[in-house]
Amino acid sequence: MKKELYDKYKNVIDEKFKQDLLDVCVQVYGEKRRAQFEANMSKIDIHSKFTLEELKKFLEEQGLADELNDPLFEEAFQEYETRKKEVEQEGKEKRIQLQRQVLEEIKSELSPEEALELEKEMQDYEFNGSFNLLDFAWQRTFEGQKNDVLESIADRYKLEDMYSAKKYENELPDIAKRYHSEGNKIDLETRRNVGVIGSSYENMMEELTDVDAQEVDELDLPLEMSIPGAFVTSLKDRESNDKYRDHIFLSLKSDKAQTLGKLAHEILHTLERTEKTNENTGKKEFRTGFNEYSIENENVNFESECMHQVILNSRIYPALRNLGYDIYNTSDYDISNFDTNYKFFDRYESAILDARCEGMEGLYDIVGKENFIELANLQGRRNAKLDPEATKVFENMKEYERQNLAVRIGKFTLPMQEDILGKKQAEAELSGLQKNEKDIGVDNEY
Amino acid sequence: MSINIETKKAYTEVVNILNSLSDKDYRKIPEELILTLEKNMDTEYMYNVDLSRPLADWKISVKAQTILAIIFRDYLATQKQKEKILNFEQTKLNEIEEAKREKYNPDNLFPKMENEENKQEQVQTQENLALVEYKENIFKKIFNKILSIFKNK
Repeated sequence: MKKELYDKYKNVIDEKFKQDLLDVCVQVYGEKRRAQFEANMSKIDIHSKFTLEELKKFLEEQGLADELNDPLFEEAFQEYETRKKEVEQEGKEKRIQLQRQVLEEIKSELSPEEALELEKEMQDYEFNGSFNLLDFAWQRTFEGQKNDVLESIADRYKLEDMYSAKKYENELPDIAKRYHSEGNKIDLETRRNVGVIGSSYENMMEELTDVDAQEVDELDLPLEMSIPGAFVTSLKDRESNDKYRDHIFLSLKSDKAQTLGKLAHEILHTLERTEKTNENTGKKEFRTGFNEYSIENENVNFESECMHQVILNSRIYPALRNLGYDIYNTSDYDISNFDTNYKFFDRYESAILDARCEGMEGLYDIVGKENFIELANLQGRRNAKLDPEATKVFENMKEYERQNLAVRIGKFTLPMQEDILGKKQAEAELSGLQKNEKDIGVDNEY
Repeated sequence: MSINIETKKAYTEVVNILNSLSDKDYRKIPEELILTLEKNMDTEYMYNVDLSRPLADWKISVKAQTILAIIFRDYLATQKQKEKILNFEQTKLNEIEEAKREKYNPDNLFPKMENEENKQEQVQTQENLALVEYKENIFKKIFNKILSIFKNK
């Protein structure tokens, strides 16, 4: 994308908003986090991630459709559409080729009669690269295409769609596994190729020249261009092995309130982030939210994101609104987020916020690790209807608070075990009092 | 036996915290110890326990923490934990004893006194030297001033 176009429309973030957000987060998480939050905030770079299509939609929604007539935009958009069609066509052809290969392979496994029948159907069938049952029905109804064998094969070999691939992963025939995996590769490649045409990809790459090249490759920015929304990641500097900066990739939104909401969501991830060096590999590792260092658990991560939304919705956004900001964020996580997560936060706010910035041990001590993982596993199923089950887990957490108090006392008073003289004095006082009471008891008997 | 108000408050904190233990753990603590704490605690002092918060947020006084450490060691710890704490205490006590022996060892007392005498002598010498230097400076200053008057002429 031409630099003038990128510079004209990229997100411009007010420094005052960042400072206000920082202050609000310190209020919520506690003054003890200020140093960590300030250090993390100073290591953030923000990039604007958008395609020309997104920019077009953005301008239309902003009531700035006239700007689309700018020759700079018109020329760029025409080039983008032409190139996009070419790339998509290339991908489709590869898909069709794969589809044919798979059918030829299957044909060799069929009885001679069935193979012959399939051959006939393939001659008339209009290949489009996928085994979608709706396509079969469409061609049968409107074009009189006979495709009984094709449909039966698609069904028998579970070739219909990627959803089947996930659903029947363990029982898929080898041919189907290969078809889905290679089809997936072609689709990803196509998305990558589309992602770099007429988007802000090149502009962001220019902004990332100080980042280690391998880190940029691993980021797979071309693919990210096809995924709407924002994300944040830590990337190593080109010149230094242990210097990292956090890079936020923020989409264009016509709604400024939502842009701020999304930005706040990503910045909060950064503020919570802590790092350590792995003693075995010597590599830097990061953690944020409920995630452990270098352990990826999908359910825990999902629960962590849901809790992230809870913290923003119930604490951060209201505080920013009080400062006069119009801010909100509709996140996919909110769709399946349990109401129980809000109760969980209300009750254990202090322990939850500490857990997100320090580590999980303190929270586990209060609610029980098993209970927490059970809640995460339930939330990981992404179904809000499971909330009653989550409530039961929440009740178990409340029980656990009391059951595990002795262990918590043991851990908390561990530093006091070193104070031998202090303990001796306290023991002497207590036994003196007990002796005194006994003496009084004897006197009373007289 | 009189106890100060801080200790009484610490007993209140300990009693409230122990009351929040599960029945199973509470029964491990001798009744007479709890009675002693209850009899001597500050009943005016309101101390609330919130189990849902980390103990660091409970504002437990140092004295109460010390008593809780003793109760944990004696009644709530597992056998293994208890052994570890007791071993640790023994090692610490030995270190304290050793330090005391070092401090009050008659062989160490004389050289120390000697050293202190030397030290005092050194300080005196330094002070004297400083005095001489100071005088020198003054003379030098006056001399320089006189010299400058001559130069200006």
